[in-house]
Amino acid sequence: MKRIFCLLLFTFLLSQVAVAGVELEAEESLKTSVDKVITTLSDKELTMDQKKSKVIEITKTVFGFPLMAKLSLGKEHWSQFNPEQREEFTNLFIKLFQDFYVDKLDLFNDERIVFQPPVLENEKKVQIPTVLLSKGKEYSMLYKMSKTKNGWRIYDIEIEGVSLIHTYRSQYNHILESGEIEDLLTKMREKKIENEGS
Amino acid sequence: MFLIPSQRGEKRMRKLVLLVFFFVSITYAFNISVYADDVPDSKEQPGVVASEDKSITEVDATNEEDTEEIDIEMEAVFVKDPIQPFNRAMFTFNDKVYYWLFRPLSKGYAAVLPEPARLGVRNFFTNIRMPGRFFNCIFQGKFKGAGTEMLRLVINSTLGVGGFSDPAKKYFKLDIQDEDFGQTLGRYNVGSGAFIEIPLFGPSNVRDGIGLLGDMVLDPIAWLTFVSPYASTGANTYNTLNDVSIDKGDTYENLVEGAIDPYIMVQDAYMQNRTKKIKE
Repeated sequence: MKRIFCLLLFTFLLSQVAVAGVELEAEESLKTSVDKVITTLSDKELTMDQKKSKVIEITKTVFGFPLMAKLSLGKEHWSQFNPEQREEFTNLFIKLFQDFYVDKLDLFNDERIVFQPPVLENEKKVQIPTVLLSKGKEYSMLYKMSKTKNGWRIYDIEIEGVSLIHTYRSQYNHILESGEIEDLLTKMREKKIENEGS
Repeated sequence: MFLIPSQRGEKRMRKLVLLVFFFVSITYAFNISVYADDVPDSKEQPGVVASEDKSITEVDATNEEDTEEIDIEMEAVFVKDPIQPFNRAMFTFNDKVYYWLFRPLSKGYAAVLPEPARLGVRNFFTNIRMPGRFFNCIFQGKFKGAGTEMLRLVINSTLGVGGFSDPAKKYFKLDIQDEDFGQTLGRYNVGSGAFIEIPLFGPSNVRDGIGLLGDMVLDPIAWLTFVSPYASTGANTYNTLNDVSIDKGDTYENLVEGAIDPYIMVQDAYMQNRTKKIKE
């Protein structure tokens, strides 16, 4: 009886360790990227443009862009796109997202990110809550990561309960409900050109 | 002669002790039930399946499943927006007010007053608006939160020199309790109703609009109306200007400028943020 109990306890502990491993792996990968971004930004020898292109390289290794693009459209609409439209949409989405993200880098100065214990959803999905400290205020930022063949990738960021992908989806849905796929793509192309101009 | 008043005092004292005891036990009982609600349902830890010997195709297949699961969790919520043309017009109006009025004003203001002073002003306004947060904590049965707000008021009004700094947060780890009447209504399952873009205020909905009216009763800045309507309007405008100058308007500008449909973007962000606040 005692032995069985011991065995059970041992298996239980072991599974705990294994489970903890998965979320820590994801957290580790996110932390490294965040650290890299912060070191790049605080590097005084780089110009802003150099910083931006460097950060874009880093984000490529931590954001799961194809999945994000797919999610921002939603399964239903995604299935209505033909392969060429899908490709163009994905590329436009990535470009617009990067513009959006990189645009924010100028604002980053004395902010600090505090990591909190990651939450395991399942083996391939981890949520990592963090707190962004900015000017005496705290903002909750939740990184949602999924396991892909290339390792852990972010598929969504939730800031103060506002999911970024969700806001994209609402906009795309709204356009697709009243218009054609081509309308959405045109709007995205226009936005891309607008960003390049500014 | 000497004994009678002291006996009386003793009786009074005993009554008081009993009353206090009664009060404490009641709050304690309430607290227990409140805490009980706070305890999250213990989630079953998913067992670990040996996944090492899975072929790549199988991994791919599970990924597809995950995508579907994630896809469902992100399903867009239907936002009631029957007066969209009006709302869109108001959104444009508010946007212009921001870009043409508040933005240049806040830049000038920021150039005159250094940031620490502006942070102090923000703390002052936050401190003075404690009644709204305090009572909404109570309305929602969050007695611990109400206690925190009470402590924050006492500490920040004294140690924090009239509320201009926030030692309650810095040294006592007392977080601000962000509660308002709209959240209280949401807590009691009042639906959000139609979306409304309020002129000069911003995104809201029927429930939160009613909440705003309710909060005015508890807002010392709104009480200034009894002195002069200009006093409260002026104070509110100044508060907004101060907030914008600290934020440099970045939150709004980024939200709007990154969007292909800014109106829908703001609407969705507002609804999501409110849902989260009500849940908390």
